[in-house]
Amino acid sequence: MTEPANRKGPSPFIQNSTLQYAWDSTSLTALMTCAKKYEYEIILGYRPRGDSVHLFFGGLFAKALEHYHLYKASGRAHDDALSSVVDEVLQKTWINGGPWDSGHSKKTRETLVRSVIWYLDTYKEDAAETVILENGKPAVELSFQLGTGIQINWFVEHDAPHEYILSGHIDRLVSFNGDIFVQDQKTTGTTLSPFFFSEFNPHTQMSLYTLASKVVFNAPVQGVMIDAAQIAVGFTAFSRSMTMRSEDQLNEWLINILAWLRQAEFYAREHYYPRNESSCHKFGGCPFRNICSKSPNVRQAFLDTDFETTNPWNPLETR
Amino acid sequence: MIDETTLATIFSKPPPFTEEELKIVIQKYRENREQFLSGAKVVKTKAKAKAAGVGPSINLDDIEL
Repeated sequence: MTEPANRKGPSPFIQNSTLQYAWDSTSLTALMTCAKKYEYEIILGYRPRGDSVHLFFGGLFAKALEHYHLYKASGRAHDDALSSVVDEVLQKTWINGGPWDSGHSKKTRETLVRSVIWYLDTYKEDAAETVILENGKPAVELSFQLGTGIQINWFVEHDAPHEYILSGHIDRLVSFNGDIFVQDQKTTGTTLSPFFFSEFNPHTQMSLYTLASKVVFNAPVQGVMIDAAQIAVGFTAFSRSMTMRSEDQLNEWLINILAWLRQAEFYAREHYYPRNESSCHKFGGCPFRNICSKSPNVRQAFLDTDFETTNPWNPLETR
Repeated sequence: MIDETTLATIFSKPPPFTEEELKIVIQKYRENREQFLSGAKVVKTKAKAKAAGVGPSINLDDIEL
């Protein structure tokens, strides 16, 4: 029987099962795309070798912006805060005695530093301002765990979780034109067109962030302000768009999630995660397509060669 | 104008970085950004000139955007 890979932090799975009780948008999206992809990626923790470039680049970019907003909220001037985050990025990209070599043509140490500087200068006089929470702290780097009230249909020990939890990490809450939005940064190599932004509705992460912000942070959030950065070889371009969610849409989304959680219970009970063969070629192609297309008796060898399990995804890992 | 060699030198040295080095990095990328934005403006200018039926003999700087 499949067993969840060991991972940093508390396990998001019910003990002695493959039933996940703590979900985030990454694990929900994997489940919705294909149960087999979910099994490989989330339960077993497989990631393509070299895939970490995008996570590393995007993570550092988001962290630099988060720190900048914290420094600004504390009263520091733009240039002073910018200098600090550039320093942090340069230090964090000095790895094992040398500069980070991403092996990627667009996402490099140099384009990361460039993107941070260009973004913060572009939005230096931003009309979107950081919200100050009721506790007086700036609404930056907000991790959340939201109890759904959805009962787990599984035998659990007395001290084990009995309801599903939704978790996540919000970059920032901003006030803009009198309304409050979650702000989320995206980095991409593709052109920032209306088509790019159209993919964010419907979208699990955007709906989750909107719902969580309303409930956990008690903020009248209207939706998500997406700040996108196109990382090219010679430039970084920026664009901003909003994706809105009504109360009805959020209620409907939660009902939708309930259906998917019951589906996850079925897969865990049956000890089987079927392939969704209509998803194999979507979104640039599933990374596990070359695994599923192999004969079952050789798949493990290809998994061991082309994938790594050094850092399995964990919705409960704090940042 | 800060030359590429100066920037490359900073990028190839280990931390910590001095305040002056950080200023140089930021200034260099600001210069790059200005060049990029100027290039984009030239493209827009030429596109508008073409749309207006203006030939290459006209000084593009005389065209009001």
